[in-house]
Amino acid sequence: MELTGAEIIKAAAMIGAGICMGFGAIGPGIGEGFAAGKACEGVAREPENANLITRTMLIGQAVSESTGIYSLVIALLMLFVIK
Amino acid sequence: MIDAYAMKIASLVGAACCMGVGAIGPAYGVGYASSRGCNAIARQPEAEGQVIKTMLIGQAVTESPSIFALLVAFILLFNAPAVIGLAPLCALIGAGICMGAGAFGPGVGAGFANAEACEGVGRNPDSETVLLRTMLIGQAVSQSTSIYALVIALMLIYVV
Repeated sequence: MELTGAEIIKAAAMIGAGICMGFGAIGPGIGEGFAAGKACEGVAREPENANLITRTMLIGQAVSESTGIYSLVIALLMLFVIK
Repeated sequence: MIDAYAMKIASLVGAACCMGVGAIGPAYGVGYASSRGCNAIARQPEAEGQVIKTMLIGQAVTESPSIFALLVAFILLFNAPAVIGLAPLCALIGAGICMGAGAFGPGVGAGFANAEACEGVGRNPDSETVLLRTMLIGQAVSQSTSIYALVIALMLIYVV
């Protein structure tokens, strides 16, 4: 079975998509968990401010999530757009 | 050059990467949460029941990325599609790396949230409900990246 250049590119894109989404998920996962942990600490200290703290946590997590979404977009591009 | 044996080797390598790396993060997270739970109980033994409840609920969520990794590893081992070629071969390895590494971060992160919630329940057992809510919201957001990784891994195996 002869391997063509296009096939090799497609194969590299498959591994690339896996590495991209896999390693891209590490950072946001840890970062968002860190935010959630500190929010729990804050709620334990001042339960009456729970809504405010949860809101701040969600805003921070949304920003932290953005890099995970970049990875997702690049992985999908590598899966379906690269020929 | 690429035959059914090569495809089988690729799925074995993919499954090993997936479950091997994917077990690290959740295991660390669960262990960290239980260590902080022990701390909280040592400081305030009368809140033991509430701390253990919070710890177990949070640990169940923390474990879920490793269960995704287990699922993908089983799929790679027993249910990989029988297509032969370089691109499908790389897709099997890629799926393993994707779900393996993708389970690491959310596992650590969700464990961190769980740990702080245990500590908080120990310090302030009256606010257990609101702490549990905050912890679960935070863990759910933190899990989202592992769900992205699961989606990409399944697409690599079945769609492409």
